[in-house]
Amino acid sequence: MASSSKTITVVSSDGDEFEMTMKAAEQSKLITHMLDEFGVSDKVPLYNVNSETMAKVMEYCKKHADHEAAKEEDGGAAIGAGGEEELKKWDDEFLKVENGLLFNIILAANYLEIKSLLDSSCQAVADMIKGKTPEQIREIFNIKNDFTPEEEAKLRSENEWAFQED
Amino acid sequence: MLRKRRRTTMKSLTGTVSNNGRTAIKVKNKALELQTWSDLPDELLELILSRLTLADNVRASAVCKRWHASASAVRVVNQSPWLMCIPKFGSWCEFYDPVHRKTYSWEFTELTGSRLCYAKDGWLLLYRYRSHRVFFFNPFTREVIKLPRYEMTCQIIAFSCAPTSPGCVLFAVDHVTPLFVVISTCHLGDSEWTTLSYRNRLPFVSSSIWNKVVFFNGLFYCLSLTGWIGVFDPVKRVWNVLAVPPPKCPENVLAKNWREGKFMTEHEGDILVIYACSSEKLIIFKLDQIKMEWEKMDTLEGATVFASFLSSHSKTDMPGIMRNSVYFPKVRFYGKRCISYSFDDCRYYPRKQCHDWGGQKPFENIWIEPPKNFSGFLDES
Repeated sequence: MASSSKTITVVSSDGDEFEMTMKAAEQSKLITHMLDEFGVSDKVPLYNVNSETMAKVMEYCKKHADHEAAKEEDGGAAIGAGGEEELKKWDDEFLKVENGLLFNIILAANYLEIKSLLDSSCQAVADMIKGKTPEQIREIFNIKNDFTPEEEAKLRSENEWAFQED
Repeated sequence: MLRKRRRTTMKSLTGTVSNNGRTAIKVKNKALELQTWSDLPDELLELILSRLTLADNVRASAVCKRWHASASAVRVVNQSPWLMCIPKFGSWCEFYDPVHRKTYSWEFTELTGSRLCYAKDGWLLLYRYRSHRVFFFNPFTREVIKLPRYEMTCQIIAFSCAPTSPGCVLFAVDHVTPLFVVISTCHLGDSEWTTLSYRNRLPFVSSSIWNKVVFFNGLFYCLSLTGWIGVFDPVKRVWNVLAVPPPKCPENVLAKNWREGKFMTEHEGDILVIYACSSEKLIIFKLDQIKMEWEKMDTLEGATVFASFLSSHSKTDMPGIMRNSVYFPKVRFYGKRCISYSFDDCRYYPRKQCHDWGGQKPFENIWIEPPKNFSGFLDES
């Protein structure tokens, strides 16, 4: 089955249509299941993902599909260890977006069941949290502190060692 | 009331922007951002927080109540090893848990007439004098794994990983003369030990008694009494003494116990040697294999080292009070308190514990990792 030449169409919540190859579509477990139900000729509605996020996800799926195809072609020789590292670097750059979009990418990766994208994007957020104080974290993610001063003091005293400024 | 405020905010934002469609969308996203991170579903928040070390997890739990719930749900505090004391005579062993400060006793008749050699990954290696046999013992499952006959003439014998893991190899090194070492190896499943001698290319003829071994990155690293490092590759069967001058112990160089007061372990890719020869301070030396020199360190950067004469382990993400410390193989106060040194406070607990660690029952005490949530020893001493 020459699946690489076939394309499918997905529709975002904003009504925009995006075309993707079958191989790229296979990156998402959800799309794969929906295709089994709807068939290839129909448009796949993805009403939980807006156009901006969809465009990014398309880009990711295409990149990873191309990488997989290259691996299969040369029996894995062409890619080698360097290829995996390069892909990781690409993923890191790909996720350097503003927080709002990163948030939507995580939700989309979860909804579309793209495990590798979910792992990478969650790791990107974890990297933003590393080494930061609670105040800094609140600022980055615009989160309101809903602890009372007493509650916060108790929390800090329970694990004093973690809150000491070097 | 809150919703009304939000709507007004969005309206005022879009109101002040030009009619450029793209800018309007960007602003709308910004306003959305004010609500988003707090609305992240619990499972996804937990996915993110589960990727943090204990320290970052604790700080994240102080951000807000939702984050506290999620961080607590995924928090992992690593299990601490226990100090196992095997008496020279008799079969009643004791286990000390430094986290809960409790001691357990259990009888192991399987161990009578044998001497402790090494511990790693929850397994012990012992030598039975009468039958000249080395054997593996798991005190938590009471499993015994026998090995081919070996006449142990040397003090140091070690193994690479749990005998239940593939590729487990045993290693013994014996100093014969300052110029030669005799190395014996045995793979799990071999019918006998393989013994070969190797040239010891030490810069000068000095004491080359090797008395500490650490297996790391496929190699056995040995520390001599005088501080030289010998490396054995069990696959290539190559023995090499590193051209790295021994670390200098600045104080008390002539102290009686300076030879015995050393502990070696591996931590996050580095070989560490701890000098406990002074009653005041502990010194750590890290082997820099690129510069081929020892680097002095005055912190473990939050890690905990569990030191015993025959083998030592390092662990991260220990409960707060145990961080950045070295735990020694001696329990005091009737089984309640273990001697430790804190790099945060720069002191021993209790104070000034300068012991001749070589004389403190070196072959009777060893740190061993129990399996997760082990509850087998119900009798508490």
